[in-house]
Amino acid sequence: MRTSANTRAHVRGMAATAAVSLAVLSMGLSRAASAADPVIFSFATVGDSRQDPAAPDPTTLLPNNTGTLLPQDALWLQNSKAATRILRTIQSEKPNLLFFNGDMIYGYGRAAIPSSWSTTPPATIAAVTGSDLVQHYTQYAYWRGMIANLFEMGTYVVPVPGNHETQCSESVAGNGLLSSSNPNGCASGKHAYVENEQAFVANMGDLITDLAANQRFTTVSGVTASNVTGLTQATAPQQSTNNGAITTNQAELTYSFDIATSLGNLHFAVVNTDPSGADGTAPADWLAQDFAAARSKGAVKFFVFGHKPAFTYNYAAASGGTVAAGGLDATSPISLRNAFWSVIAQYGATYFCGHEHTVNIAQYADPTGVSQATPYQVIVGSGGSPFDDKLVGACPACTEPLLTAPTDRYYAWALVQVHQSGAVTLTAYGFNDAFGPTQQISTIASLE
Amino acid sequence: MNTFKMTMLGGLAAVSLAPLGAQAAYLLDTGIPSGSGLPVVLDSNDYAAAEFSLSAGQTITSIQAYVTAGIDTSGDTFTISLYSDGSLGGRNPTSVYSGQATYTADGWNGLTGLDITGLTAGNYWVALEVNGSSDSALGLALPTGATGGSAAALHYAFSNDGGTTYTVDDSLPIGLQVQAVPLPGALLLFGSGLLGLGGVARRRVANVC
Repeated sequence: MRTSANTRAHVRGMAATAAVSLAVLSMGLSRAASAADPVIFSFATVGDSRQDPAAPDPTTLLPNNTGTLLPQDALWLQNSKAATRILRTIQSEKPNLLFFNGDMIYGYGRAAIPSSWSTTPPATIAAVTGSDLVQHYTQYAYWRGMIANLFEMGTYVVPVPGNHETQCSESVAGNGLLSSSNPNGCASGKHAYVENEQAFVANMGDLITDLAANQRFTTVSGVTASNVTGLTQATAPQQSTNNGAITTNQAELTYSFDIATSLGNLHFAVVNTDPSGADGTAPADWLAQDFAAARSKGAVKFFVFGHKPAFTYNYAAASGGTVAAGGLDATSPISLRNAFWSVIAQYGATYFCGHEHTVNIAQYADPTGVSQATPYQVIVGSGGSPFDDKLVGACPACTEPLLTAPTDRYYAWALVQVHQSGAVTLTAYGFNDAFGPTQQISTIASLE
Repeated sequence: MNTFKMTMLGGLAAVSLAPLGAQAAYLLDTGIPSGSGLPVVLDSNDYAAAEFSLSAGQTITSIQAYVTAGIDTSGDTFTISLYSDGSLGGRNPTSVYSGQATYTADGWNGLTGLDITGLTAGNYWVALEVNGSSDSALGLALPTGATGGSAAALHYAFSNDGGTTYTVDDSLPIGLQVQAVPLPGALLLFGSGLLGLGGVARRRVANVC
């Protein structure tokens, strides 16, 4: 039987629990202390804090992995315990920025006024509050409250849209806490809708537009954004060969900006990997133009943030399984993903993402062969959402799966530090599904 | 008279030399961590502690932790605190000792030349903390897999809420050392000296009578 946080006793005098053996491998070695190479800028990144009303990870159920979600998490569909601990620890590391790589809400409905309301207005409060529209907005509000303290402590949060924000899931809408029917007519499967994109902009847009307006960005982060693009439809991605068949205004959904440093500009691009009309794509043509423009303005380091990975991590490998492609590699034609990764490689960029609820850091070659670089893809999609690598059997007698990496079921995030010398280091942190101590998962001495 | 002088000199010598001659002993020595597990993180949110036993009257002279840089650099500071067994189990535990240490290089880092006395016999926790208002460390790393020392920890515990509460978890043994001077021996010598002085004085009184 597995040991959970619930069964662990706090220290009470002589009380103590039995030792819990956690077989982990030392993936990361301590970076040598280097006071001569100070950090001039840093950011943290994580994604996927939303809870799942239908299939939460048993470790989030009380009591003893078999009960129910905390009422607040059932209502607002967050894994509050994991997410707030991650945010609090990130706060202690004092990064300038935190990029949150999507799926901050459960969403998955269609955030529109039900067409039936024009003829049959909702008769009850529950009918109003239970609508997809109100559910999306209240879930955003709860998440905004969770991150509010970071701004007070010197870390500015930069939001990235995920599929749970932009897409409506026909299989989910009408279930659980979402509306009891599907009045807005989501198509079969999972598809992005303009109403959902607009809901993201309505609830996150102030954080994005302030990159340019700078009412508080510099005050909070200690750095100044410049060359902000993607705040208008004209500067955001539009339909093209390698952008995909985008049908909606992508302003404030895909955008970019620079941070000036003594090294030159650090360039940051946020991409919507589920735009309306082009689900499961990243706008490679836009990114190529954006990077070229940024380089011409002095960008020396490139960082990209999206929700879906370009390469799906096969966490089932140890047990002989294969995880079906679920990222940009699941979209046909694959040339779209390849074009995107080629841009990443040609500029020596690093791609940070989520979607898969695990942590995995790996290098991938340019599928087009244009570049010989092997840039990093950093999946930090275990910000609280149910782990993809599921427990085996029915809890409380459930057991851990055969893990491909010992940290496959770790809640995790990454911290990137840019040093005065130009070195860019990454440290990944996390804690296990029993909410054990925070651990250093891995360290990469140079992202380039 | 000669006996009195000799005894007195002997007693004084015992009192003056005992602290210098006493051998420091390990109350806690987990050994150097093997690194077999992922390092535990030490930041202003995440603390780590180990439990050890203290006999009556022992004077703690040194506390060391096996630390690597993590995201910090040489010169960054952290805090070492001692808690009584019951205190750490409560909410917002109150330390019986707290001192600031400096990370200088990967390995043993901590506090030496201490003179922590007056602690009653019992189990204590030595905790590694980062006080957000006075310490500069952002994320030191505590390698795990410490099992080969001469005085194993009774238990390990961690806190992920800045020390408000601790949870026992023996799965990730970190490196800690606590040394103490066996002060009871010095006190014994001191007591012997006093008894000797008392005996001589009594004989002198008896002789006079």
